[in-house]
Formats: sequence, C-alpha cells, structure tokens
Amino acid sequence: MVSPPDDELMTLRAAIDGDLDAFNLLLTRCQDAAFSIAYRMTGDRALAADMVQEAVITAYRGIRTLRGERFRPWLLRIVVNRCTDELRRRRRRPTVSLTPDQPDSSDDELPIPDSAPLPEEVAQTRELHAAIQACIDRLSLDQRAVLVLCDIEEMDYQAIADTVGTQVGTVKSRLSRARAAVRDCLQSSRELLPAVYRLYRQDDDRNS
Amino acid sequence: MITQTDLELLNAYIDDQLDADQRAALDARLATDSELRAQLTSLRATVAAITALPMLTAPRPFTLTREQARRARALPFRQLAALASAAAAVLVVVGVLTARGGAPVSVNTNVFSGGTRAIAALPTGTVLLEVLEAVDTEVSADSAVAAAPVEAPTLAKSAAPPFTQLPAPTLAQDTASMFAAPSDDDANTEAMADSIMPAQNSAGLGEAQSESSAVMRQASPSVIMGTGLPSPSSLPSAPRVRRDAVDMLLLRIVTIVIGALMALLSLRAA
Repeated sequence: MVSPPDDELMTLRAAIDGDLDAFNLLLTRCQDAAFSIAYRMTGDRALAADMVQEAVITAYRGIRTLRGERFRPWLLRIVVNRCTDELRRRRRRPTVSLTPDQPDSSDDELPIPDSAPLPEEVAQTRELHAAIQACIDRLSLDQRAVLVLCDIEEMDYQAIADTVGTQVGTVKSRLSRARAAVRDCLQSSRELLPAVYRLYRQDDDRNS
Repeated sequence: MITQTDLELLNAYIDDQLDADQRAALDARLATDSELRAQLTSLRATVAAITALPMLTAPRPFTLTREQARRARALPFRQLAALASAAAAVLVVVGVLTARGGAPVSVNTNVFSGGTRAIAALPTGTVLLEVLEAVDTEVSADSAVAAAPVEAPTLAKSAAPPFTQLPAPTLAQDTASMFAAPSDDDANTEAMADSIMPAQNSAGLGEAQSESSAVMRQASPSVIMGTGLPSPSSLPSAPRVRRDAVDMLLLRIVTIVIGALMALLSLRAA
C-alpha cells in the first residue's frame, strides 16, 4: 500500500478527528475523479452526481474507520459500491420514464459551444467517446466496475480486488472479458475507431 | 486458438502485471503467433481508447456544509424507523406469546404502568377508571403522580400476572422517546411523526388531549395488545372477560401482521 504524503496524512488525521474543512479539502482533490468514475459506471450525469453526493455523506459518516489507507481510493470504493448498489436496485425495480431515453450528450464536455459548427475531428471524437461509453454501459456491473477502476482510475489489480471485494484472479478474468466485450462492441462503430485500431481489426479475432 | 487464459495473460501484459518469467514466455509466443499478436494489438487499442476518455469535471462541489455534516452524523431516520418497527414487531410477538392467562384488566394496568411513569404510580383495582379519567380530564402526568399513593407500584405488581408486558411498553416508550428527542432536523421530525401516525390510528385512540394521552399514543403498539379501552363505567364480568380475551387475541394477530410489515418495509427502505 502506498503511503500518503505528509500533508495528506495530516489533513487526513484532522478529517478523522472531525475537522470538516480537512474532509472537504481531501474531497476537493478527488471529486472530479469520483464524478468521472460514477459517470462511467452509470452513463448518466445526474445519477452520477447523486451517487457521488451520497458516497460523500457515507464517507463523512465513516471517516473514523479510515486507518492506514489513502482517502482517494477509499472514497472511490464507496462511489463504485454505491453506483453498483443503485444500478442493481434499478434493475430489480425498473421504473418507467416519462421521457424517452436519450444519450447523455454532455458526456465529454469538450469546450466547444453547441451553437458553433463542430470541426469534424472534434465531432468524431465525441462520437467515439459516446460509443465507448455505450459499450461500457452494456457490460455487467461486475465487469464494468473492474474496467472503470483499471482503465479510468488506473488502479492495479490488487487495489481493484480490494475495492470490489474479490480476488486478483477474478479481477483478471473480469477485466479480460470486459475489454474483449468492449472491443467487440466497438466493432459496430469501426468508422469511429482510431486508425491504429482499425488497422489491426481482423476477422479471425472472432475465433477467440 | 485464443483461450480465456491467453486473454488474461495479454491483458496482464498490457497492464504490466506479469512477472519477468511470464513476460518472457509470452514474448516468445508473440514472436511466433500472429493471431496472439493481433489479439494483443486490438486489446491495446481498446485500452488506449478507454483510457483516452477525458476526466470529467464535477458539475458542482460535493463538499459538505456544516449543516449537511451535522445531518450526516445524526442517526439516519431510516435506521430509526427500522429499529422502531422491528421493536414493534418484537413487542407484538412477545405480547402474543405471553397472552395466555392474564386478565385483560391486569394486562392493561401493566401496559399503562410501563407506558407512563405517572400512570404506573396509580393503584390497581379501579385504576383503569382513574387512568381514563385522568386522560380525559386532561390531568397532567405530574399531577397524577402527586395524587397517587406511595405504595401504588407494589400494589400494581401484586395484582398483575407474573409476566406480563412490562418490558414491552418500556421498549415502546424508549422508542417513542427516541422519536421525541429534540432535533433541529425538521424533515426528520416530520417523517418520524408520519411513522408514528399509523400506530396511533391502529390503536383507535381519540384526539390528543393532554400530555398523558400523547404518551399513551406513543405507546400504542403495546396498547393494541390489550383489549383496547374498556368502558370506564363498568368493570368486566366473566363473559366480558372471555370476549375481551378473544378480541385481544384477534387484535394481537392483526398487530403482528402490521408490525411485521412495518419492520419489513422499513428495513427494505433502509
């Protein structure tokens, strides 16, 4: 386990002792990551924001239990678990939306106003990101959590195993299946893929 | 032929999670296996595409205000509701299991004696009449204590069956006092009041008229276990007692169902 730097350690101790400002300082350093993870897990900005807010409250309640661990992975674990629980709950009790499902176009927040004509390259990048997110959304929750933690948060396998409460071997298995599924899913959007990806896509990949 | 094991090896290779020996072995295979190389390339491209997804900016600060922090540290209402409902269910079960014997009047006396300290201090016998009068005439709990004989608790104990539901109303009172604990949290207070209301309705009690009646309402899960409130003007005769016993059993069964449902719903919500 990587030891937190001294200043984080001091802030963390203060937060554990009930210092709200210290807790908020730790939070501001990783709230973008928390939101990104939540969004990649849920594919929905509003839901992702709710999940992060709930996770923050859970984290504040349980900050005293945080000993010898860094704040960021600990918070992200709570975020991932909260998202997983909520998505499972929604699967069990699907609700009928009054508005038709629409892709979340605000995905990548590229700094280009909607009214301005989009350069083709930027538009393609947006489409590619949307396609990747759509493929992530199709993964099982277990695979999604592992993929997001590995490829978005760049955690190592052991940290992922600790986060999702499983063995490293299971992480390897879920990750390989998740990546293969995303790869196969992206085949349907080959024109969006980077040239290097298209170059090496071969029909015999299906043999796997 | 690419196996699942090969895929896991390739992913670990990409993530630099192989030890030196595993890596060397895979390098040797890659040098001769074009299909394996193609898999590696496509997986690498997939990982590159996913990792290139931009970090999003939080749409709002998720930092907590002092008020949010205070609420976060307070016991969540759902947990309180679950505890209260579970306690109600336990009370009802205990009430039914101990229902054999126990004349309704005595049971009621104990219910009241456990439900409120003021009523507990009253003597038995005509106690019910006095209790009801005290409630109806809006006599405060304090004055009821003042009017009661000192030896009243002993009398109450000797007149009552051995068990009884003494623990039950005490629990109910604790639960009620949890709900009644001072709180700045308006939302929670309102929600708590909502959860108490069904019990009040089930008890079939009238409008709140005094502090005493308010306490009785909060102890209503226990009151339900009794026969309800008999008429103050007549103490029960033998047939009346039997009828009351049947009514009491029915009420207890109904209350078990309600209590169990409440507990289930609250736990599920929590």
